[in-house]
Amino acid sequence: MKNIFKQIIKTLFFILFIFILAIFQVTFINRYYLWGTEPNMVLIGLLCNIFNPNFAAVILGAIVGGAIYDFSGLFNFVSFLSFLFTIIIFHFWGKKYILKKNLFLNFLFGILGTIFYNFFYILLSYFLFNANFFQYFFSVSHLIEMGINGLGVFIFCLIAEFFNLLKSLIWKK
Amino acid sequence: MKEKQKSKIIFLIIAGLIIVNQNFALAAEDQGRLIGFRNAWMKIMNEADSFLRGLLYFKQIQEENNTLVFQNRALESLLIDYQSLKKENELLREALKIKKSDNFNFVLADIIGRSPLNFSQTFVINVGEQDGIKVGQPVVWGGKSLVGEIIDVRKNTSIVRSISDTEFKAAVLIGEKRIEGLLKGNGFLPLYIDLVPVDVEVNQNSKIYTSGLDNKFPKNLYIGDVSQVDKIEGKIFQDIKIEPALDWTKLYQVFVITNTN
Repeated sequence: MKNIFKQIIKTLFFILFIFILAIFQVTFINRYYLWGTEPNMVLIGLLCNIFNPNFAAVILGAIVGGAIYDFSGLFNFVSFLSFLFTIIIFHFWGKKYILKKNLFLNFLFGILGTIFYNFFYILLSYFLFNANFFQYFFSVSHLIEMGINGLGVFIFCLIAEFFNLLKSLIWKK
Repeated sequence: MKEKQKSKIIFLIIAGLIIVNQNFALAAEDQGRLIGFRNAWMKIMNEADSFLRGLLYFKQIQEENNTLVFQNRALESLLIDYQSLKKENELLREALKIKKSDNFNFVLADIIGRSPLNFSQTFVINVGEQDGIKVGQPVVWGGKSLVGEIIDVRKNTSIVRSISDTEFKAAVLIGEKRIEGLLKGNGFLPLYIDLVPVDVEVNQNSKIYTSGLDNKFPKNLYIGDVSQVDKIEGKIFQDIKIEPALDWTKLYQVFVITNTN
């Protein structure tokens, strides 16, 4: 019973974390461009937690983050579905093929995650709303976005590792 | 076995969600069902944005406010002169029977939402059908500098496609030689002009204006300056890059021209 309660609290905290990232993205980040592109904070937050044993929380985070993006953007359900596809693919592939976790792997996941997310977003917005964003997919800006998101995931994971280390040190004492 | 079952259940839930959402997205024509919710959401986000900005730039805003109050007082005195000059000008025009070239009606609008992703360079403004806004009307700022065009109108809000959006196109004139071209958004900066033959000489820093030939925008709306001209061998058109006059991501208000037709 105590475990379930703990799990629920952890899930709620994760959803709150993604919610804050999404609000930050739609109000603040989308005003400041880094070399012509903006990072995708929700994607960074989700990819950072791709190996989270509580995968249901990650899925709920993707739903919340995607819904906020969609209601603040042009199309409904496009971001939401793109996040879900990306997270599920990465979670199961990661589980199947990655034997040893490495911090630099997060950087690679950030790059690949951006490609997958943008690919799904472009495809869905084309088929559902007839919007053509293919030009962006083959642009230099997309390359820059990959790098920024990759770096973002790496930094987020580094911070998380630091806190884990701190927690374990305090726990030992 | 348990793991397999778990993944099967997750896939089934996701598949169900996709089917439900796709039906919902396709059936809700123009996303009509969610307009009310979206409008309310945009307003909440706008408030959150103002709050965040207020927290982060409090000192800067305070300084800016002091400067603006001072400027406002100076401008108020200038306005009195302007009003008397305007009246005089109107009387003279009437006496000489000169037709006004551009007598635009402007509607001031606040930007209340921006696209959170890199794909679409669009934003939401707080004026809509009730204020006489229609699809296709130009959006300007800072002395008739083109910012974008209205692509979707709702009761109290409208969506604006900025000049840097991939779907944006406008007929333009380059520099004093008035060379014709087609401005295209890139989805990112800089913008570029297409359909200018290689044998035409285009100078750097030439000013770009709308030509009005596309029957979409009125003529002489300022867009920006030529930043780079490349003539690539084998190509029949030049690659002309433009630095826009305004960065729409830094704007908080815009004007919509409501009487272009």
